[in-house]
Amino acid sequence: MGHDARHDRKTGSVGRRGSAPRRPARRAGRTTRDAVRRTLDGRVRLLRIVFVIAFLAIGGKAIALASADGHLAAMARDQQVRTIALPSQRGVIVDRDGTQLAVAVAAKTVYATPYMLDNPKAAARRLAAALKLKWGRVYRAIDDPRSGFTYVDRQADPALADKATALGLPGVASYVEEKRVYPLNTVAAQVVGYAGIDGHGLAGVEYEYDKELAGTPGRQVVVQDPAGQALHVMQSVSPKPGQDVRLTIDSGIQIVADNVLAETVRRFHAKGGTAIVENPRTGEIYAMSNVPLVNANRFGESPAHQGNKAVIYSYEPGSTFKMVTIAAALSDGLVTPETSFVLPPALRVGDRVIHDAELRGTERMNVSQILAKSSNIGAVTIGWKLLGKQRLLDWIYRFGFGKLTGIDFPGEVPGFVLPGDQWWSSTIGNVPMGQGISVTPIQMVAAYGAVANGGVMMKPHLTAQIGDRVIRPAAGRRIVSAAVARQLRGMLSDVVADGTGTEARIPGYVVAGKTGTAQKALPNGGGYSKVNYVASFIGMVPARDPQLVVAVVVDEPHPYWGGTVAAPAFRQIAGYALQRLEIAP
Amino acid sequence: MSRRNTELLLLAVVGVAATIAYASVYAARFHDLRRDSIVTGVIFLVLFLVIHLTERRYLPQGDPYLVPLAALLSAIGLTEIYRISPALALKQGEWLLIGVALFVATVLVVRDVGRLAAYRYLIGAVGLVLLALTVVAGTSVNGSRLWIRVAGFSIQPSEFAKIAIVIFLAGYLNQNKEMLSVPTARLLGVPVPPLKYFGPLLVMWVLSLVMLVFMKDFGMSLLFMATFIAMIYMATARIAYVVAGALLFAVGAGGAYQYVPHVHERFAIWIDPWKTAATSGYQLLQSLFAMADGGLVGAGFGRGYLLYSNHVPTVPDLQTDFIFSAVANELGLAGGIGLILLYLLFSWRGYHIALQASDGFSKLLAAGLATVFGLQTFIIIGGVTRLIPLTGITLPFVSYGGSSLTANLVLAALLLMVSHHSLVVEAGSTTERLRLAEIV
Repeated sequence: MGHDARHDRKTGSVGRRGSAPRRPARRAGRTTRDAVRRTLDGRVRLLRIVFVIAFLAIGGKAIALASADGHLAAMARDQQVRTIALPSQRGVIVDRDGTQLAVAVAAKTVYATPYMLDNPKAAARRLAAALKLKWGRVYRAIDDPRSGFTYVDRQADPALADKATALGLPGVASYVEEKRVYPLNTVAAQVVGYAGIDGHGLAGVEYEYDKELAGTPGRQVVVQDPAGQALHVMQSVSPKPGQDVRLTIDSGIQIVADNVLAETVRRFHAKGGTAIVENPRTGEIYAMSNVPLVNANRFGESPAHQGNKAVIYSYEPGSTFKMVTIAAALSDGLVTPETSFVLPPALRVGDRVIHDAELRGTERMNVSQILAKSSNIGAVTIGWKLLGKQRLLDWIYRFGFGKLTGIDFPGEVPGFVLPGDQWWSSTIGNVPMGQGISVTPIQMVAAYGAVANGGVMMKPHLTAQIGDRVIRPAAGRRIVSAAVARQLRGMLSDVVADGTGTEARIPGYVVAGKTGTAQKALPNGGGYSKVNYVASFIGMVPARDPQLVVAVVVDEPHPYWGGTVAAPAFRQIAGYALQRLEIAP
Repeated sequence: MSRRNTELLLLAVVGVAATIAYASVYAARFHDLRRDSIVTGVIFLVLFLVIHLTERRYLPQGDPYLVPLAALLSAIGLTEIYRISPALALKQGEWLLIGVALFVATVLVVRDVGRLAAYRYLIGAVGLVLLALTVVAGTSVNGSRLWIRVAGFSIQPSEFAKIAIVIFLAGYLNQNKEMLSVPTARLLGVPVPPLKYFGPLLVMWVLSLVMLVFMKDFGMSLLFMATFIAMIYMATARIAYVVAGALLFAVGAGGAYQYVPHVHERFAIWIDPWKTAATSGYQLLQSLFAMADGGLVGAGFGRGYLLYSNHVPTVPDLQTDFIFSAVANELGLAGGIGLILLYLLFSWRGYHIALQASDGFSKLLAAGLATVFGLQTFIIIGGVTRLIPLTGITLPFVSYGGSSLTANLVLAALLLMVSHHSLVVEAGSTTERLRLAEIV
């Protein structure tokens, strides 16, 4: 482009710019144009100021956003990077043969972000249909436009959950969660206990070994969008699955014990009962029944019956405790099984008069007969006249009463032994026959277990194996000499042969055991009930070299005789266990 | 130092800054570095050198700051776009090429901005046709009808229309400012100019409504109307136009709020984005999060958290409407404020040029261009920071988008021409004028 042309255009443009309408202004000269420009310039400056202010405003807003107490920044990070716990698979609980008592199955929990749902009614209808739930329940869960989270269905069937999430409703998603299932329902329910919806053990073995069963959860640091969709995994630590727990329980014996006990409780209109089957040589528990039975899958529905009475129920044992008194006297060399006593029909001890269960005249009985006929006067005579308070207490403690057996189960109670300095004048007339003292069924099993095991008490236990670690029985503790144990077994077999426990006889086997019919103390402390008893039978078989100790304790049966109520249950349970374990007579 | 040497020095500084920015992104994501990045960088520098040489030849007295500012903004934009998507950055590089060509073409074809006044009606008509095309043949994106497709390119005609309308208004208002300033009638007791001069005001109002209702483009509507009000005020000094214009626009916007769901939604999000945090408010909240996450100085170019692992941006439309959030995230508050200052400087230079301009048309044109540029910046940054309701509009020079980039380069060319021309005209004697014009 030429220089001249440009020059021409420049000069020419002045004329063109000032075309028609502005001609008068132009004639007026520079002054008018300057005036116009000045005022226009003023307005341009004004506009420029307006813009400076506007830009200051956005700058200020940016500062406000960046400061805001770091609130937004924290939210930004929160929504973007999240640490997700990867649940570890909970170990299974099996019985001694591997039968599954508690397993973890995959489930999916469906949740929703209610405020994201435009039409909660329609959403509830579709979700309910997909999950096979009641419409109202779903609607109540999601009908809150301000809520950011709600469960629609916890631990749902994965297939149904997938259907629900496939509906594509905004904010509805699911995550995998384990569901604890107890395949055998009622079997050993109070022993196995249960794990809550969050997968943590809340009772029983589930609670005792929660740490081992739970394993170590992994974690994943993920970047996700607000809908919870993981977009990027930044870090991942795999979960360590929980260890399996194998119990000493034999589910076959357990089922029979459950059934027999339940039938006994039903037949004798009792409140409940507990039965324990133990191997006295090792302390392994083969069965631990609690009636009323509960379904482990619906544990929460019967809170009153969740407890494992075998370890948490303390009761006055009554006559089964006479074994302890006599074991003490034998061990201290005060009597032999044949030592005989002249027993009056009634015996006054302090402010109390003791009778035997059957009315009789003055009679001569040896120690063996005292046990077989369960003579209160005989037991008290030995305890009071021969042993005395201190020696009796020493033996009670030695047998482990008033202390925990140490069984691997949560919540065990020690029972109660009245300390010597608090004994009343009549206490010595009570304790030798098993009143005025409270024990737990497992303590009684441990005590009889010592007699069964040649005088050595094994610690009762429920766990055979945790993960790869096999639990070996702890070293036993000698309570009485093998000779005394043998003498006791002989006397106890007389109880079954022709004493109060004939109902416990098992054809082909020699059974040793003792009945107990204990009055229950009145709740107000004013003596004993005339109607409410605890009927029990504890026995061992085969008597010569016992391989089983079985205790049956029934709470408030009617009629209440231990020999009538508990001994037959013993016979059935022990009878089955002998077959099951193929124990020769 | 001569104006062009100042500019060259500033461009060199921008070149260094751009290289550092690229290197930062490069270092942060070397694993998927392509040759594109270097090519884009080289293209960038060469293109602004072309602009510089064009100025040396034809606009030696042009403002020395506008082009370095545009270059710096484009560098920031390209870097951020490259960081978001190298493929998009390459396309933006191509658009920069076209933009530079348009810049040079504008300078060569127009030569003297004063000539534009003569073509004001033609230019105004072209602006209207561009907008009409959008309404008729446009494609909708994000609920707004803003684009037309020509030969495989998506073009946003409103970006060019805004310049055309400013040129038209400058010419028209300069010609009729006296008439528009003199009230001859009264309406409801308020003195008003003759109705026939009121026409353009109504036309602009209708235009803004059309954009609102048919294009659902609240941002452009606001931009046009506000620019018009600012310009008519500058031309006539009558505050009544400002009040009337604002009222009319408010009525239009109110109607749109009632009857255009898209507009209604935008307002609802502005008032409470949390209510719809996961749906319609999501984008704005993500933007706020991104800015807040940047902190004081940010993590640096390429180091912010802007992309998910699948290369999806954390903020939808990050590379276009929300590019400010991206920059504020990676460069922090300092970067965000810096960016705002760059825009303020650009607008300031625009008004400065208007103040220096030798005639009414040039003044109005420069002030109008400065206004439209500043307003657009204000609308989008105000939107993404939730100062005002968010409307999709590009951030000049920085946002991804060919139309915006090229149109704003044309805008810069026009401002430079006004600047050069005013200096030449003001220089007194013809000899001096010639001397200044000849400086190469």
